[in-house]
Amino acid sequence: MTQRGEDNPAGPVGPVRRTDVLPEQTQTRQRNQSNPVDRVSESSTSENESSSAQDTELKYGAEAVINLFIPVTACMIFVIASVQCLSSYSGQQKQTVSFIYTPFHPADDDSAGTIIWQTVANSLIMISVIAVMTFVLVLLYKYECNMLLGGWLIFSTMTLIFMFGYFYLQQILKVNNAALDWVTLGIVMWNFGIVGIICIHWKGPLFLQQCYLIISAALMALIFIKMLPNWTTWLILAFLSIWDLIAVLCPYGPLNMLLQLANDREDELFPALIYSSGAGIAVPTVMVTTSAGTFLAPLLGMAETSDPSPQEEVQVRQPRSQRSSERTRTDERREGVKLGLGDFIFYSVLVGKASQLHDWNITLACILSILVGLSTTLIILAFFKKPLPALPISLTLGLIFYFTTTYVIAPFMDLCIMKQVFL
Amino acid sequence: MFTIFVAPNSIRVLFWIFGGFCWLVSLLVGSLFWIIWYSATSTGSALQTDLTFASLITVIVQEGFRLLSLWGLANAVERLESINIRGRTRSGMAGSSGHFVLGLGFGTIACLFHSMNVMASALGPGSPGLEIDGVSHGSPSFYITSAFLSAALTFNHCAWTVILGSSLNKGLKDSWYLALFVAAAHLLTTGTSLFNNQGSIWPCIITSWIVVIASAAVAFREAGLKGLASTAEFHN
Repeated sequence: MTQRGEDNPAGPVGPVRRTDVLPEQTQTRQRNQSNPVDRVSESSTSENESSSAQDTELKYGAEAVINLFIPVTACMIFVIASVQCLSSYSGQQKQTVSFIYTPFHPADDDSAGTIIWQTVANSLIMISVIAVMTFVLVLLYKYECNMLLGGWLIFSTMTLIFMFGYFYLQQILKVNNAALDWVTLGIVMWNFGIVGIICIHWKGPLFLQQCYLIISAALMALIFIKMLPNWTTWLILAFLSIWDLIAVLCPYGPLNMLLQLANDREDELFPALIYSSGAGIAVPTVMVTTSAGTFLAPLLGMAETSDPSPQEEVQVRQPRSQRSSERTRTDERREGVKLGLGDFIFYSVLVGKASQLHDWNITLACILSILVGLSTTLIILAFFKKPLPALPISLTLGLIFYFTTTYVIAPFMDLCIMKQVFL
Repeated sequence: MFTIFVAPNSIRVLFWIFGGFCWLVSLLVGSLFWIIWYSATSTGSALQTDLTFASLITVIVQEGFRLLSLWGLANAVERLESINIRGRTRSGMAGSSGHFVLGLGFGTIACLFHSMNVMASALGPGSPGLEIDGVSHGSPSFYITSAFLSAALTFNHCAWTVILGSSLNKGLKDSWYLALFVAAAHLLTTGTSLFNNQGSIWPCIITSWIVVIASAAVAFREAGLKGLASTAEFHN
């Protein structure tokens, strides 16, 4: 997620940091390691250098946007397909089990007032849990409780992949009325889970890591869709976009502090929390991080992150002239724009909840508004060059379009389609 | 069309989505109008099911949004072109290519909105277009009509956007006839589709496809292409 490919050894940091804080060595290292495109732009005169740098950034910015569109769209399609096909997620069944974080369950026939206060209460509880967890995460990182942090992360990834993956598999089998023996099930789940954990937390092909991150985000989103009461979901999404703005942009916001800490320590941020597009070309854009702490394992109330032990990373980077395969692998991972996994989850929650209505117009409208919001955010990112929250614009647009499409456009379009009037 | 012309180039994908979004917003404004007008003047459900006036207004709104988005596109392309691009000759969005991509966005989303629900209903219990107890819910050829007209709609939107774009480039005073052509064509297709419910589907299908061919011809001429072989240029 660095700008110019192998940026500073710490990894993903905004260009602001790069120009201010970087010592000489790392800058020369940048020059040595730049790939052909960068060499072309860097061979220009020094006065042109900054402008051409910006040019290359903006030009490659589009490819970075597309690199993020693809996983976001893939995640959304996965969630929509699951919601449409698997009855357990499609809101038709009365939900008896739910989170402990949303203790109020408004029934359909309650009065409007009851529904309102219960929804607000649920959302406030959920947001405060998320906020507290994020702060705990930042504190753990700040005081370098690496063992605790690492253990927590690995444990929660395990829970996510094994438990929710198993639940998902159960639903598929139920819908198809298929039987699967324990032995096969054990082998399949074990392999799936262990490979996932290894890819995310340790080493593995970038593509596989990306797939696993998308799958875990989608599973998480499906659980949210299943467990949260209807109106609570919408209100939580609205509150989350506000929280995201606060957490990333305010000076004492937890994510802001986290980024500063990571930057000061020249550390790479948690791979399990962040999706890296690893573009392979020097995509000189900045990290878009959000809601890192909102990637919760709800049943255990733990935030998920992963902390690759920083010591190893530093040792690998030390010998500059060495182009070991480990370095290219970590470098590959550090290139490209990064997007927090929380973003994937909540985009998919929005879209999945919308598709529960089984009206494709609404689903399409939500997908479109989220993609437009994401591209707007990335364009703004290209101008401001600091970490930005990715949730607010997309979720706001998504929510606006969800409600307007449901109540305004859908009746109109239904009528048009029935009468076969083509606009 | 998407796979060949839009997908390989990232900036085009962005503008394709932008085009789709503009269509969506225009639809929003149109349906807002429909809801407000009809809930204000409803004298019974009969008025609410009459789409004539609403579709007229929606078409006008859509053309307005097409103009707006073309203006936005012109600004954005100007910005992009002014960036000193090394190693690449074109940004892929210059001139008619840009208009085409935008139009394709319009067309794709229009087509999807019109046909996806129909296709989804095809899977489920019941089918659109069946006659139940003597009450006709659309003609038996519902699907075919939907399919052909949605496809025609996509092509039309593409072509109209290209035409309008080039007319904007030339300046409206000189090429007002192009803008008029687009507006007339759109009103023609939508107008004839209003007949769809009242019996014969043929007026709409025939006029739509004639309009497609005519619009495509005008669009090709505006884009400066002499024949189909030169569409290969657009690929870049």
